[in-house]
Amino acid sequence: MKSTAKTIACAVFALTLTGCATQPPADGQAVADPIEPFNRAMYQVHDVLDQAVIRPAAWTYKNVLPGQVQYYVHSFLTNLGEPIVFLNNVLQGDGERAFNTFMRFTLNSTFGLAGMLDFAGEAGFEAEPEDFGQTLAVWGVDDGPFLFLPLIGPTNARDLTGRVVDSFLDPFNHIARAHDAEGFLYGRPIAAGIDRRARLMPTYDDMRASSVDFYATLRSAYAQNRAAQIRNQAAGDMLPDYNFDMPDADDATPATPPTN
Amino acid sequence: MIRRFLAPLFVAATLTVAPVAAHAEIAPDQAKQFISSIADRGINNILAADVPVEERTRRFRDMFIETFDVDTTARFVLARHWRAATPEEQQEFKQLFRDYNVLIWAQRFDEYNGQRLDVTGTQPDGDAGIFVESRVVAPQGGQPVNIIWRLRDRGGQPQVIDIVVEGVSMALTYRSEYDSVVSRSGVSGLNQLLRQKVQELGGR
Repeated sequence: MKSTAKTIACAVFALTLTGCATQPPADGQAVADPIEPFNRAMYQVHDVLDQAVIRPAAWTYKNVLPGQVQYYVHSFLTNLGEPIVFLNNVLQGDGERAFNTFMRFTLNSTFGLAGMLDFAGEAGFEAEPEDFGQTLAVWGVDDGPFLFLPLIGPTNARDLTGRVVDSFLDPFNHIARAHDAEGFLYGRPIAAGIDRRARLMPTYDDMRASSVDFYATLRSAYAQNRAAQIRNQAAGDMLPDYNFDMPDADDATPATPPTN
Repeated sequence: MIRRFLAPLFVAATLTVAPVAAHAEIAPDQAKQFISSIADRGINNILAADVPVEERTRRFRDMFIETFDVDTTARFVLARHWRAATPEEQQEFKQLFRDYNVLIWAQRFDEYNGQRLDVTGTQPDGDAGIFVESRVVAPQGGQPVNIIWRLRDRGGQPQVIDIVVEGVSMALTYRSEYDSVVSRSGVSGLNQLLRQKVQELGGR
């Protein structure tokens, strides 16, 4: 099991390295997007699906189900993901977080009634999501080209690879496959997607409506948010690392507040 | 004994702190106080205030203009396109950018649900300013949202130049978004789009 994981990781590593050697990402300023026309087309497809199917489903979930039920669903899905979080904690050599994740999974699977309650969160073991995309980043793999895929949304070569690896390594998926429980294999990502979309509900829709180029907004926001998640475990902070100084403009910034 | 041990450290500390403080200009306490006061004012005067929407938007607009350095941010956001734009285009962009921001924040007032903002710390930004770290905590519990405020000294008063939510910088995101529009249709094209958005959002 462990050696399989290692083989896959190495293969992926090699694959992504070649994929991302083209352009280094610059402090979240410019995201490498060599296949932008394709991505924009995929964004259109995604947006149509979102408005026609995903958003209505998420709206129903959010507005019809009682808040408490949404909490059960969210906690349950999060708990299902903890073994993968744990594995990635270990692969990143982060003992502290591995312990936190171990405690979360143990406490929530038992006292938390099979994960329906986030008992551990209340006991101080807060959810700290990790995935193989982040692990690759910690190992030094760059983002690779940006990708926008229908149903998945904004991602990049590294994170997409990470998703595939995570889903192969996930013990619950193994169990489901062994028992021909196809419903679980399809139902889980669908439920997770609807839950996530419902949680993004007011923000995503406001931004979509007000943005002058929503694709560019998502591309930039995704890269920055991922960079922060990755930095988080490395340095323990989330400070942005770009310079506010304006190139091309004189540094004399007005000392007076702007007039109305 | 302890005092004798600490004394050199003290001297070292003052020596190293003094030049940094002169450079940063905003004292950490002042910065924290500034952000807390924005949060208090925002919650008590705007979000939780029992006044009509128009009044809330008006109050927010006043606060935004007072506490936010829109000029600096607008310039940063246009980046290399700033120089290429005519003074009229620059001026118009600054105004539209400000109105646009006021309106999209105003649109979200209804989402307020008793959250509070806890200021957790500060960091120098190595760029003549300071970062204030904070968390938005919901009364119902759940994951807090990390927000970092980037401040600059403006005539003895701090002003906000950027807000970073869960690692996503508002200024950087706008920069990237606008860059793609300006590359296609110029600053005038961007202004036109923004004017349209401002109208849609209920501004003049």
